[in-house]
This record gives sequence, structure tokens and C-alpha cells, in this order.
Amino acid sequence: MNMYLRGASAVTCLLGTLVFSSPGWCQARALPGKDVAAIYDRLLPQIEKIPIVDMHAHPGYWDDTDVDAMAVTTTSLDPARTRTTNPEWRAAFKALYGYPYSDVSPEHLRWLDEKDDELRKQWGNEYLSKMLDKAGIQVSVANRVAMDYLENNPRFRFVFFVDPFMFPFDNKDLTINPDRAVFFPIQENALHRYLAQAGLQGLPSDLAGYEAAIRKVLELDKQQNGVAIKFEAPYFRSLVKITDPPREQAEAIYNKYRAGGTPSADEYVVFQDYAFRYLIAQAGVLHLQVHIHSAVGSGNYYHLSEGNAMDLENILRDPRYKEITFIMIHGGYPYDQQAIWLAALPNVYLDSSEFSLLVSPQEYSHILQRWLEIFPEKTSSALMRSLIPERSTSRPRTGWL
Amino acid sequence: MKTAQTAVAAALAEMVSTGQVTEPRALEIARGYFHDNTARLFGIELLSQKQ
Repeated sequence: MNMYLRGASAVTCLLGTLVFSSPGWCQARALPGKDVAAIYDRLLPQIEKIPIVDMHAHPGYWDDTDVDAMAVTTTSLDPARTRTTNPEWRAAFKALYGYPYSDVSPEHLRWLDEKDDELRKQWGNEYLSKMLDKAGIQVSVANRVAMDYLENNPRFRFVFFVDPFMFPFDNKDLTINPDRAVFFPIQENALHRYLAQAGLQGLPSDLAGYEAAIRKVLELDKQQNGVAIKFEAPYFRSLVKITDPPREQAEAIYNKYRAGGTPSADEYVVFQDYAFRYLIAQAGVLHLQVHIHSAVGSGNYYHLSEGNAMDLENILRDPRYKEITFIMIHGGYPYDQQAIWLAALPNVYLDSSEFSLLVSPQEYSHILQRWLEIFPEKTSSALMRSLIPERSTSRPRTGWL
Repeated sequence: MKTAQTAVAAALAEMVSTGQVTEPRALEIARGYFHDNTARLFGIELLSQKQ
């Protein structure tokens, strides 16, 4: 037994003796008492008054494609809470829009769209800020390709997507399923925009130039109220065993495929791993946080086993990154019980966005209780997505839920 | 938001009832979860500083 455990055992014995022998002390119990409902009733109204800093959102108008660097592809079976059969949506629509109906028929959802258009016209540039007010949100962390009309709005912070920098070559061999066939053209388009932002027409002639372009874009985005870079990597590749390739190896691959040709799967993964770590390191230089989607994802072809937050341990525990703040977006769900132990690292935090869409309030409370009992200061709330219902789908989303 | 608020209230009510935390500490945890834990990362004034 090591010294720490010996010491811990001694303290435990002493604590046990004190607890059971001192009438003024109480041992925490395994079961709640009959007072739990009364305590809940006292806490809830006070909790409802707390202004929210929303760690993860995609705010924007319904027709704005910059709210993400990918598209939410069709999932054959959506979680029950996200379907229009969930009666909570009606309450959300009523609170946000004054929705007068007791159902969500297509005709009445059209009323919702028209009401949304009317408010957008009436409120102009204040539209999104007013939506934040309705939801009790003080500040929202906006995950977007570019801030556009949200630039200089003090209610928003900018988190920008950097995955496109991992995929600068011919991506046709990566489009292995219908979801990725949708994603990669969007990634390529985003990379072209980023290169243009850095003053380039195409890929630089060498890796040093490419790295300079990355640094330039990160610096420019930071100047636009940027606070973090964002990876949605598991939608495009696996998080399992991200390696640490030498720069020379990445440089050889860049030189070989910059002007054309399709890298082999092994070559491309090496380059992606290098770019992933380069982006993290540069975020550190600029004091930007690193947000990583590392949980369940949408679409029929998302590999949950390749998006597990626990697969990032070799990154999170890399001493070179110990000064960089990492946020595990969606809290590793459904591996949330393991993920909370990543928050033992001083620089790692868990965000709980999407829980309200995926699980019931009861299950949400169970997950949170486990988190709050262990590392309460390392967790954050988030409402995910926008406050605006998606259109042309039967699946409205709102941060109200 | 509504789901999160009720979930946090339920989780903390159990923690108070089982004797893990006091009610004032429970509210401090709630303020951290909804505001201060994230605000601290973004340099936003903390609720605990306002009090």
C-alpha cells in the first residue's frame, strides 16, 4: 500500500469514527428523504432566475447555412423527444412565439414559420438578442463558419470550425457513405473560404505556407470575438488512436498531393493527425479554447464508437497541451459516466448540450447528479442549436426545451 | 433550458436530501453550472462576484 492510500485509510477510519460517534454530524445517505420534493420546489424558482451563459449553440436565421460547417443529414429514427409528437414543443412555441394551437399540424407549423418571419422583420438586428432574452440567456457561444451579422454583438462569442484544414486534398475516397458525400463538399467549400480569408486563391506551394494560412485564419477569427476552435471530427473520421506524426512526414504528403492525386487512406490519416495537433498547438499559442464534438452524432452513418471522448485521452493528457482548455461538447454522451473523469484534468470541461433533446428531464438529472457529485465546477449548460425552428422538416428544434 | 432547469433542480434536491450538500451550496453549484463555470472561461463577470 502506498503512502497516499495509507493516509487515506487512516483519515477514513477517523472520519467514520467521528461520524458515528458524534450526534451533531451526519453521514450522507444513499436514499433521499421525504423532503426531496419540498427541496426541489424551493430550488427550482431560484434556479429559473439564474442568467445562462450558453456554452454551445448554433445561433442564426433559419436559412443561414453558416450555422454549421456540415449539414444535419437524415436520420431514419430520431430520438422520441425531438419528434413533433413530443407535447413539450407546443409549450416552447407558445413561450417563444405565442403559438395559439394545441397541435403541430403542418398547417399550424406554417403559422409558426410566418410568425418567425414577421418577428425577424419587426426586430431586425435585435432579433437574435431578443430570442436570447426570452430564453434567459445572457451570453451565447456561437458555433459558426463566420459571424456575419452577429459580428460585434456583445451577446455572442465566436467558435469557429477548423476541421476543413484537415482535408485539403482530393476527398473522393473519404466519401464512403451518403452522409460523408454531403459533408465533404461543405468542408471543401469552407476550406476555400478560409484560404480566401488568408488572401490565397488555392493551396500554398508548401506546408510552411499552409501552416501560415492556418495561423492567419485563427488570428483573424480571434479578432472577431473568437474564443475557441471547434472540431466536429468524428463526423468525418475516427477519433481512435490519433497519432503524433513528425512534421517531415506530413510535409512529404502535402508536397505529394497538394496539386492533385488521391492520398492513400494511411497517408491521409497521417496528414489529418498532424493537422489536428497543429491546430490544437496554434490554438494554445493564441489562447483559444479547443471544443471537440465527442459524443453521439446525427445521421445514419455516424460511428458512435469512433466519436467517444475517451479516445481523446492521449490528446487531453499530452503534457504539451496542459495549458490549453478543452471542452468536450455533448459531454461524451452516452459515455458520460466515463467522460466525467476526464474533467479531473484542470484544463478539461464537459458541456451538456443536446441532453435536453436526447433524454428525459429525469435521465438528464441522473447524468448531472453523477457529474455534480464529482466535479461540479467542471460542467456547463448549453442549449445547442438555435432558438429558431428548423423549416422544411418535421423536426423543430429550440433551445427552450 | 426548461429541461435543464428541472433536471438540475432534481439532481440538487436529491443531493441536499441525502445530506451531500446544503441548500446554499446547491444553489452555488447551480449558479456555476448555468453561469459561472462558463463565464469564468470567457472572462464574463461571475454571479458570485456580483453578490
